[in-house]
Amino acid sequence: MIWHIARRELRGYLHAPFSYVVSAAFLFIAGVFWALVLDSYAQLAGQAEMYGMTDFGMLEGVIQPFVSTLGLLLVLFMPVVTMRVLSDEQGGGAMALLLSSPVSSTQVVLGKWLGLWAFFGGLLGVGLLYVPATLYFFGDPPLAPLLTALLGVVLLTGLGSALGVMAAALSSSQILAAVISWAGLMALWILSFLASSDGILQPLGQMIGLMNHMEAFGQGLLKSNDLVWFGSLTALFLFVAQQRVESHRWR
Amino acid sequence: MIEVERLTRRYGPLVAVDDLSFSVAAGEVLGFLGPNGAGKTTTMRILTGSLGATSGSVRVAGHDVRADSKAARRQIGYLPESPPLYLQMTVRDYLEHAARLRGVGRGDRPAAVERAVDRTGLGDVAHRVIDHLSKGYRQRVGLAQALVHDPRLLVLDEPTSGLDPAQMAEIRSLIAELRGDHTIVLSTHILSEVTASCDRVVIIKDGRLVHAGTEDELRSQLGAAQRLRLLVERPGPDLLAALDALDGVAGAEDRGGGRVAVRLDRDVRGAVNAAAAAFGLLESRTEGGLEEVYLAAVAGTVAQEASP
Repeated sequence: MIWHIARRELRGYLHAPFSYVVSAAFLFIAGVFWALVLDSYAQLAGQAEMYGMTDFGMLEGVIQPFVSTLGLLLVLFMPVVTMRVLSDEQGGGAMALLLSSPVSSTQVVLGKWLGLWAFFGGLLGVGLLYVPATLYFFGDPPLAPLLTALLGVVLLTGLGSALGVMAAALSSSQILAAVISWAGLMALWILSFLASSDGILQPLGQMIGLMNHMEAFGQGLLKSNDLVWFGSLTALFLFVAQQRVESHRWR
Repeated sequence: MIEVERLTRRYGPLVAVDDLSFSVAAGEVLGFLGPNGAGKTTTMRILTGSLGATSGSVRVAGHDVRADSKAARRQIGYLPESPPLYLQMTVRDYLEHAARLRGVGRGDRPAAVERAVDRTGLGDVAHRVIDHLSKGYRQRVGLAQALVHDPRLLVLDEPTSGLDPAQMAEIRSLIAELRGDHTIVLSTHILSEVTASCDRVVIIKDGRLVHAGTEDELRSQLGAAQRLRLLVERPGPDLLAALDALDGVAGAEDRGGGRVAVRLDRDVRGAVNAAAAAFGLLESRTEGGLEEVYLAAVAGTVAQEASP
């Protein structure tokens, strides 16, 4: 049942012109950043060679900066897509179909979430295929950081999707849902800066800042605290969403 | 099929449904009648497990809609006031989706969808996107969605609202076809719909039960006088005498121009019409029908409230 709801959700995105417009804008900006990253890498690598540095690799030069840029771009882009996640139901009254069917709130929320996540997965998988392609064409990039970077980005979209489902469940308007998602993601992102401050909030930033937990993925490191952070926040958002949909029924 | 016991639903301080009890037998068509804001939609949403009750219980086919929610919901097809459609989907895809949600097995799904399409006459538009359909067709898609899993209970919230008269007639004849196979609860504020479609009527007002019973029972309970208006070719004292002589006629009066008003003690319309036929009966119209009963019922509670 969860798969079925997820598939309908995904198909809904694939049939909506809106998704294509937004995705095109996202991929265009991501492409520009990719070009900029490659360009600065070429310059830096050239300089590094002149100074006799040989270990200035693709990891520091390309993968790391691109992953952090992509992270910020996703923070800005995801809410635009996720705000529509329950709007079909709430606007068109189709919520009544879900609520009067023998389907649980958990199934609805997980289905919606997986549908969204699959959409982002597909978008990144198809739209950013050129990233590993160019790296492998022009050089010999290390495999592990590429894979962990991919995992980090995938986890980030899972987190954004969960937050989106929660925001949509909490609000009846799309705009409000987008604002909630943005506020949530931006707050997590901004908290990252606390980590590099020396105030008393420094450990807090270290603990919950989004970028702090993305960093290691870009370096090819798989840290358990990062995985736990993504997993628990995603689960928290989904739990709140499920509670909200359930209360919609019994409130 | 349905047992509603002491159902109460509050929205904050507002009491939408107040200590409502009634039951519906299997195979029955129940008309749910009441002015706007009487609590019809709230009650129907609770019946279908889409909304929780503040107190009281609802059992559908023996399953409590709260405690045994999924089992109860499996037996229910629900058409809310605005049909729960996904506008970007085609009719067939949408029904397929609804069948899946309603728990129709993979193998049975194509047949279930075809049957729903056939019964609601959607064959010509089954491949079209719902967004491009007219309101009447959308309503039919809504009905098909409620039918697709062949539920024992159909709950239809104002199934003809916002339709033109021809579309209303279509939906009504559809409902007539469905009776017998399904227990049906339909809400409406169109009285002729109740007369046309329903076995029994429940009238609620301000969330409270005002009357429950068949149309005739309501009429006798409320003592609403029935009048018959006749138009005959040859009026005269003979006709009035003949009518007066009938058992069950309280009085007959010549209104001139061939019009005769007959007051009835009970339903002897057949005998009156038969007697009038000898005088060239052109037209016979019943007054004091459900409309008066309904108005009397609804006004009655207002009077009761005014005098504590």
